[in-house]
Amino acid sequence: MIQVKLGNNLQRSTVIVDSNATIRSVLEDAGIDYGAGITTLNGSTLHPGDFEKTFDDFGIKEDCMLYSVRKADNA
Amino acid sequence: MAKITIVGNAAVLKSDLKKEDIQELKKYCPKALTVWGGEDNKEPMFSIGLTNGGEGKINKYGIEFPTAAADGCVTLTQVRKESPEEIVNAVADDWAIAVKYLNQLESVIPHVLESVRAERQQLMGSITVLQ
Repeated sequence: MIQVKLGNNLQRSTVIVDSNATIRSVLEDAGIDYGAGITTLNGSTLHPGDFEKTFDDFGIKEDCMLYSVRKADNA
Repeated sequence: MAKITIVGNAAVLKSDLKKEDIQELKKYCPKALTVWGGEDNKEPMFSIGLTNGGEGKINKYGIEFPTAAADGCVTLTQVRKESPEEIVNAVADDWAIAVKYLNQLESVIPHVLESVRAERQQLMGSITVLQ
């Protein structure tokens, strides 16, 4: 099992998921919109094909940080 | 209570929980497969689940059981690198937290299963079939 600290600009939470869970499924289950921001896994930016990969595919063994941050333009 | 057996250089963890029980809870009450702690008991501390074959995984956050024994109880087998003299201590060190939480779940899950099954029976009883 993998402990995932995840969040976006507004919320943070911690979940424990199967190592075979996909990045997309974890974000969707947490209600995080990953379509409008930059999503990082342990600080590295994820690309479109990465969301179908599992934590196992990324070599995550115990825990990780998964954040989707939207950068808004300031006036 | 979970049991650990060392066979040669393999360590086998066998739980009292049955594979079908875990599958049933995963479907009807997945939160029961997690030990909750932290503030207001809302933080997940440890979780168990099933995985399709492979070696399974065990760490301080959870156990993914890949197989079940002949009696239906889930098991996990891990091939270890330690020598025969070191293996018992090494397994005890690596698995201590996981086994502690697993024993906690084993004491709670049967009651949750009873409740889930009773609710389902009640629901089944309230279903009318018109022919």
